[in-house]
Amino acid sequence: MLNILVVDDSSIITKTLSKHLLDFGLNVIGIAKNGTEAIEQYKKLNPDLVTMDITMPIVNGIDALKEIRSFDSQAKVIMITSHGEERLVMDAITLGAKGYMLKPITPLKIKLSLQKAFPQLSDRIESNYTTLSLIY
Amino acid sequence: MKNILRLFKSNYHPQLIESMLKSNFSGAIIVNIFLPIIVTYLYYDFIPLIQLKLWLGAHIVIFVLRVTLQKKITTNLSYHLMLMSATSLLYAILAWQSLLYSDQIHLLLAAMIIASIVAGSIATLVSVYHIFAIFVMIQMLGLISAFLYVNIDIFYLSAVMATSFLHLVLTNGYKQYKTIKETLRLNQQVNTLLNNTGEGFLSFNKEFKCQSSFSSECERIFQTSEIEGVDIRTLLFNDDTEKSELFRDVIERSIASLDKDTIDIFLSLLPQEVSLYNIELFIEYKYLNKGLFMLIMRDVTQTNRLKSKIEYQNKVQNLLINVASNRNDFIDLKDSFEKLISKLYTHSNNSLSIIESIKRELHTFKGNFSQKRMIYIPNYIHQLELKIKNLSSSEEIISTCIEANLKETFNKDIAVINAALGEEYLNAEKTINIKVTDIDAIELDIKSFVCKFDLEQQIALNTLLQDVHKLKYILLKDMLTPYIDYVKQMAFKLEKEINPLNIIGNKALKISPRLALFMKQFIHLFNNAIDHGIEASLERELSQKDPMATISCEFTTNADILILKVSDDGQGINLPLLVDSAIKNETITVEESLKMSDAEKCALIFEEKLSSKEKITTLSGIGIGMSAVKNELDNLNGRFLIENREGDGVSFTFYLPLNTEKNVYLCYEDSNVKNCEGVANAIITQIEYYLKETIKTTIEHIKKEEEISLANYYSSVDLKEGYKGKVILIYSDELLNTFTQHMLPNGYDAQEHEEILLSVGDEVINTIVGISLQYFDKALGQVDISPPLPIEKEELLNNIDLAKARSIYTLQTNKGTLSLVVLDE
Repeated sequence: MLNILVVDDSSIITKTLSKHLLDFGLNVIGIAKNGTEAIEQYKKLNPDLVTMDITMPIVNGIDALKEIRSFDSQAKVIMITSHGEERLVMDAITLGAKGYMLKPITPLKIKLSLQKAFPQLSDRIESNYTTLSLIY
Repeated sequence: MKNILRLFKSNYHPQLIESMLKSNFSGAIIVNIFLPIIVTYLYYDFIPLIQLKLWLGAHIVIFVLRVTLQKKITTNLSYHLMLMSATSLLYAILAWQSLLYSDQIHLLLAAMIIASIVAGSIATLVSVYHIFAIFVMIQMLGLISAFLYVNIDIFYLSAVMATSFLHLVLTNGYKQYKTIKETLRLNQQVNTLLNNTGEGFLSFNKEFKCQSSFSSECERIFQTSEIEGVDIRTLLFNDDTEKSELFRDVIERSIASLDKDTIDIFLSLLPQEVSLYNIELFIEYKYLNKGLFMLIMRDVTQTNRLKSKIEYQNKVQNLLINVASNRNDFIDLKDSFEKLISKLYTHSNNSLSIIESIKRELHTFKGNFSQKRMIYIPNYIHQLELKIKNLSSSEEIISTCIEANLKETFNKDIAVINAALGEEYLNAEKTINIKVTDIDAIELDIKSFVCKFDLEQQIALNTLLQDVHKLKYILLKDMLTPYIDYVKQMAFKLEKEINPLNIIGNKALKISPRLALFMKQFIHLFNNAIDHGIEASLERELSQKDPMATISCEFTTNADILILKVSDDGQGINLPLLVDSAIKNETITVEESLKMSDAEKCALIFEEKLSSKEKITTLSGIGIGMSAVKNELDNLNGRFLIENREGDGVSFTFYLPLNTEKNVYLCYEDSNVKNCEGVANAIITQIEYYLKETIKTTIEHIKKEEEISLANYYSSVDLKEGYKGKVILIYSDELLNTFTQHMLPNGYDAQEHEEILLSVGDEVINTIVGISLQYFDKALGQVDISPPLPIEKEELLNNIDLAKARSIYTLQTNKGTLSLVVLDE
């Protein structure tokens, strides 16, 4: 299915997010700890989707998004954000982010973001989510 | 006055006025500008200039007012009225001016003006086209008449002008009026629909100004009717500048982005839950087009309240489950926490180590309490921890902890538990669960070595055995309290008004599980009371009764008897109906019924397939229920008493022996011994009765023997069928003589002495064992008895040797000794 690059400086987030994404039947093909790594990995792996934390050391999520979008204008990036970062989210969306997820990450939020980013896969995502909610 | 105001309001259609003003804009120019100019020109010679100037001026003022205030007029009733009043005032001044000259032309002019005022006022009042048309017509007619009076030549010209103008105004106006009416009607329909959705619909433009159309729910939500043109941010966030700014940023960026999906993502950043004037709103934002945004607001106050209620209930449930699943653990935790709190108050030194230990303990308690899913205290401790984290001096830490009053918050949690489980739940002593089978095993253990002791020790052991047995006892209260809920539910189901079931009695009373089974049958009693006994509340009110019915359940003990009384204040048992249906069911005959006492009739309620209510409901009425009560009562050798107060209710009182388990001196291991002992026990009980009934004596002492001690007289019977064995009674001379004297009080032939004595012995054994048969262990099945058989001493000894098991008892009375031998073959 889809190949995902997870970008976050917190290993807890990357772990839980990767687990959820795997549960959705998605491939997490790379994990980056900061913006620089994210840009490198994107160029190397060419994923279908990037989940990008906004506040990260070295190069933050917004700059990384900018870089990735300038490298690949079709890049799909979903921002991971916390409360109070609305303005940064707006910047990100203006820069072409496909959506955002407010922490804490839940399967429901993942589902909604994925459906927005990949409307053509909406049904498949929905059915995966239903299976998930049966498991939990 | 109020009515007039109401009339104003009901006829005030801003859209109608706006549109009429617009459609008549050209008309207004003609009426207010051109006409006065022409008239001034034409009448220059007849009417003083000042008046013409005034007239012209007045019309210009009205026209200017109308144009500049157009917006206000159409949205605000008072502006509309003001303009109309101003017009009327100007006209009035003109009329007054004209009346100063008493010639005809002035009078005519005055009349025309007054007519205009009247028509104008009515038009304002009703604001519908027809009146407006009349208003215009009167003005025109007035003008025409004026021209006619003055100069016939000018008349033709002005008549043609006026008529064509009139035609223009009227036809054009009528068309407009029709369209507007229809639009208004449709508008009204849509408005009604929107207003009744219970949702607030509102739109605002990119300057954040609210648009004129919104559903009436908005007025309730914002608690103002002044919504149009107001900044949406002021309405939603009041003075919260931070939120307002975020709102502005989001909207501005949404407008800047052209893609609909992106706009949606932006809009999703706007606050979805806003609380305003105690109303909690859930808001959806939609981008319409041309820089217009729409808000859909739903009042979720009730939903949220319900949600938080459910959440709270969930928390309570989790807490209760955790507490109940390990009560002792929780009691320990509670005790140690209370100890910690008292330690805070009584600490003797503030050494760092003590402070550290308090901090540590607090932290542990926080963990433990949240593990127990307590509602208030974990978070409270957490807050306290944050507070003392940065404090360095130990005094400060201690005083902060004391100030925090942990106990108060902790008690909030305890109160939740107490409310659900009762105060005694946490205050009662610690308990542990023991499996019934474990108690059974202990009982068996004791039983297994009972026989190693002599009878007196066995009696002591028996008391112990009973104590062990009582561990299995159940609180009677626990058996009855579930009925409180049951009665409530049933009352609700059957639409009866009943006070909560009142259970009165010693809360600590425990009963054997055997008796507890009887309490299960009470369900039929309550069903019967609620369905048949209690009347509908209306019926109760009619018969001067408390509309709320009462059912009570009382229990007491008297010596070894448990007395249970269930009463209701319903209509009581309808005896004639009950007897009738008993006869119909052929439970009794008519003749029998005539002889029956009321008490006997009442007892019919326990008969199967009987019920005094004809209608059979799912709950009761099939008659099996009450007979089940009676059945169980019989099994427990209980008695009952029914007090029927017709029209006033009925009480059922049950008397039950508390000690259902007979204490038996147990001394057997294999089934032969058990059977043989059981038979012996049953026979001993009957011997006791027999002695009491016949020779009025009691057994003073029972002794279990290993060997028989022979005497002169013995009788025997064989037991057959279910149990194969032999029962032998060995009489002392004294006892047998006493029996003989009792049976043959008139004496007998001395020659027959031996024979008589033997037959008396046979008679005694026959009677005693005969009666005993029914008290044998049911497991043996039907046991039969042979006629008394003569038995020789040697045969007796032989039999004893051959027996698989034997029970030998010596029963000492004050009238001689009797030995009982039971042999198992």
